[in-house]
Amino acid sequence: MRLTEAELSELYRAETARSARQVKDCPSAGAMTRAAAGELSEDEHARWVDHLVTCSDCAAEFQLLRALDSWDAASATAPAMWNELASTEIQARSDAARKGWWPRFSAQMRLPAFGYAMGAALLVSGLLVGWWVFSLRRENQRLAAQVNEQRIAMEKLAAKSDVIDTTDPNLSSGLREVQIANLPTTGTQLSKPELNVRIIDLEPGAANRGESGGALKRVILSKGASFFTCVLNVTGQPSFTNYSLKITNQRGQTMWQGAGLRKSPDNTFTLALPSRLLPAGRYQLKLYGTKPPQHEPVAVYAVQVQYK
Amino acid sequence: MESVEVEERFRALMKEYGNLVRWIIAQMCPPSLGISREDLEQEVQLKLWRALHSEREIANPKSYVGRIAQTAAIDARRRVKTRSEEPLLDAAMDAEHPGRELRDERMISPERHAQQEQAKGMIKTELREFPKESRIAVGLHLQGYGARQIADVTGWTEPKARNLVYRGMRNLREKLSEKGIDCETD
Repeated sequence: MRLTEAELSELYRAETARSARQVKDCPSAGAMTRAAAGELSEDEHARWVDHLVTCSDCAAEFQLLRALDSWDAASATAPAMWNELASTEIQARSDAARKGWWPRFSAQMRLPAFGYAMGAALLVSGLLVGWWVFSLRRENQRLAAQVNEQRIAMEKLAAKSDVIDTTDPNLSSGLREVQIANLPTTGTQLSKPELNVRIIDLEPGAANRGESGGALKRVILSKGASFFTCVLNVTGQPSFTNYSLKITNQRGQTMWQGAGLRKSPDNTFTLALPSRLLPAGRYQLKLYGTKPPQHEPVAVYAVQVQYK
Repeated sequence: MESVEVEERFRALMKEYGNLVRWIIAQMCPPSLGISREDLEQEVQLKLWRALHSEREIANPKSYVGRIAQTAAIDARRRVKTRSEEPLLDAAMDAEHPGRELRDERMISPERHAQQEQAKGMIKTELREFPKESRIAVGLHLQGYGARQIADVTGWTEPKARNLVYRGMRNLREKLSEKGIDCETD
């Protein structure tokens, strides 16, 4: 028969196992811990060593205890945190070793190192998301400002375009600009008496005949004229409490509207119009009469303004 | 000591050394033994509680608590082995004695098994005839102790332990060889 040394050792351990010996002569666990701590007397120690030779279970347990003592001695000088870490890690790993992937994963999650790593990762990702949101917000603000500027520019252009559109559509844009530039604009001009102001008699068309109103009255004004006066004639004897006027250009846009007109004893209404208000073009003046609760058109006048 | 004081002392000790207790239990009771660590920890706490109630003077609390945990762990291991829970016992033995798995893996024949049973008795008998120091050295070596561990247990120097193991094993192989058992050296 051939035996390796490992087999020899195994056979010996099996032969000296507690269960094989059928003798309950093993020292108590307390005695074993005392032996491990070196607290036995000389005689006790000799008997203890003899026992270890003949009891494989006690030998194995004593080996564990001795290893524990050496680990404990080593850990005694280490900070308490490391003891805790070691114990948590041992517990988590040994529990996880006999289970599936989820317990293993959750055991890893219980380890302090994993917790620190997760915390750091969350912190970094939080900072990155914060920075991303902040940069998005700045970009949005920049775009909003840009859009606003564009809107304001468009509005300015549209306002300018409206003024120009009210003039003769056949005029070139350059000519329109020149015409507008030539209109009296300064306060100095407006504060002077204006001589030879044109007075234009306007005869009404039928108020209910639509935009075309009555016959088109052509008005030719000098370029230096700041005002011209319109006399609005009405047919019949309207008896409204209040009268109002609305001036629209040929596109139907309201140029001006206001109330407070009073009928003269001659059954007319007068108003002075600034030439700045009405650049060259066609206009419609609608006179309304109000007698609560009534509010209805009284007369419509069609005018074409030109400047020479 | 009044019960309030006992409770305070107990809580303080467990707070201070609770991790040590768990660590000892984890070291001494691997999961393969099937011992409930929570139960064992509770057993340690109960022993500590009783000790505090008996007004025993605890000079070194760390050593004392550690000793209680070690004792409880050894007792738990012994209980498991006594219960002869075969699957758990085998697993535990395998964990502690790696050589054991060789026998299981080789699917030994009945004849081989009989030879091994015969060899077991021979080893023990031959060893009994050895001089005391040689017997201790070889016996501990066969129990799985290294030269340093043997020196640690016996109080010898490590070279002495190694020398005694070497000579004793050679002697044992010779004796067994005379009886028809050839031992290979690793």
